[in-house]
Amino acid sequence: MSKGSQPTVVPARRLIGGRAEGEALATAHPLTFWGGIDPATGLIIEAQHELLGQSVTGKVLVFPRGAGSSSGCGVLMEMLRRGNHPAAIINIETEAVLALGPIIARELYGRSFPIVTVKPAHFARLRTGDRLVVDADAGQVRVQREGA
Amino acid sequence: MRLTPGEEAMLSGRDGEAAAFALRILTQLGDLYGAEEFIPITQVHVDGCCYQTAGDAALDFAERLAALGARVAVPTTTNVSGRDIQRWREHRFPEALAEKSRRMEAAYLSMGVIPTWTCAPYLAGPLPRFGEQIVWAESNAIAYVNSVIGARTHRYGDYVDACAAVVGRTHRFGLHLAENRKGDVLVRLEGFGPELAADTSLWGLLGYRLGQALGARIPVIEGAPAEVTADCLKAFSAAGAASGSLALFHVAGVTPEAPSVRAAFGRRRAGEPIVVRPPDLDATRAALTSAPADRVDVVALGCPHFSYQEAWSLARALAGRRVGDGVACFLFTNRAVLADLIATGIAGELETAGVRLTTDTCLLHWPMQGWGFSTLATNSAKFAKYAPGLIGLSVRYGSLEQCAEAAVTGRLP
Repeated sequence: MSKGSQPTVVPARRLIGGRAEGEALATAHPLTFWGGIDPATGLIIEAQHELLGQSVTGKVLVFPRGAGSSSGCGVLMEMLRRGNHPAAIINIETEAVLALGPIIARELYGRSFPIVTVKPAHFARLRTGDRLVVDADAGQVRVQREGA
Repeated sequence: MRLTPGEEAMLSGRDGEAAAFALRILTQLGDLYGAEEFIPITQVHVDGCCYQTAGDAALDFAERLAALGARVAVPTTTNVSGRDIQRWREHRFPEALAEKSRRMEAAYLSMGVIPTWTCAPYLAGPLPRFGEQIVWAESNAIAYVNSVIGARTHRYGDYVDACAAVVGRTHRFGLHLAENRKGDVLVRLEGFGPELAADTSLWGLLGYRLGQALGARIPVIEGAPAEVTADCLKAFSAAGAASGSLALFHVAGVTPEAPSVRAAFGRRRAGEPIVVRPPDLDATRAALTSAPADRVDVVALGCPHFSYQEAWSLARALAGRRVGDGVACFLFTNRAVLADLIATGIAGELETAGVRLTTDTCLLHWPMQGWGFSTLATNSAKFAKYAPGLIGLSVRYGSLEQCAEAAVTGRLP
């Protein structure tokens, strides 16, 4: 796809509903939430991760799957409480305990964000800097503008 | 999910706002799990009650449930608090953090929980029997109760546990179902001597190594001594669940769903076995040893919380000697075990030796500023994994007897 062409539409499976848009922050490596992202700052603190030091706040966070403790749910809740949360999450597979974060935060704070899964081939096309619209309810991710 | 008429009524508020809130969360989660219906449960162990795990969001969750008038529907025990509720001032625990912990404790107490405040609920409070359907959170407790007792719990985390306690139900899926509890892979222990029957530190190393290798597979272990102690299986549970996601294991001739290797596999095929020999565990010990020198200034025992037997073994290993100058020795346990230790005089012996008996929590949740510790000696692989990252201490790993020597001499070779 070249710049100026029609936006690419990728089919997606809804885990947590909603619609959000933002710039993609993408990695091919699993991401750890408990001990890997500081909920107070929204920064990735996992020492060995290629995204170390990047902020997830307001981004469409693209990673294949979660890693580590089941307390990742609480980290997402705390980020939603503080407003440091990502705009959306796109995975290949999502652990239920991670998706529980937005479910509970919606109950507590009326705040949530969409989580969708996409097929590995589609996942591989999403890159950091892409402008993405995640429409979980419509079951699709639109790549509005490709990143550099 | 398919709901019964009673569950539909609960969802629309018949049993109060808290039950509707909890069931709403569980129903959404059930859709994610792909579960079709709920099953009744007989008890819960909640793990969401330590403030430090998720901060104010965790406290908001507990206080919301409490404000909605939540009451637990089945006997529900509590995992550790962030602080030793009686002795936190002796532990240089900050006042503001203690207040957050107090609010968290109060929220759960208002729901009618049994305040065990322990990561070893199999050593305090109500015990399930074989085959009972339960919801336990806290990874070591899940692995232990599934494997050693044979009660059935999936690998639950924070908040799901409390919701299940309020509605007395969980999803019919995962390790609740007999067909999902059979072995996936054979683990053969080769070249070990009789020390494998009682040395908990070896089982910690074994669990740590296998937790990394197994992924989500259920192991069937062959070659363990039939007389292996419950404390060894406890150390194995904690280590395997800390390094990986171990939630159920079978030890042939030892655990209840494994009268034989064949029975533990059922109709599943064993595939290529994993073989573990003593040098493999030496490599794991080296990986967990983050301190280069043998000098230690704090000895931490009781991760998971020490059993009566372990505390008794420590008293015997100290043999009337005292903890050395410049060394602090903490023993973490729960109030039920401590009451037994007091009743039988062991607590007095340990305190005379200079061991600091602590309940309700452990060192991993304490802010360490002001203590001046640098190197921790422990017999727990779980402590060894988490101490460097969570509290900034490097680690020497040894058996309970070696840790007792380290407490006296300040050295763990």
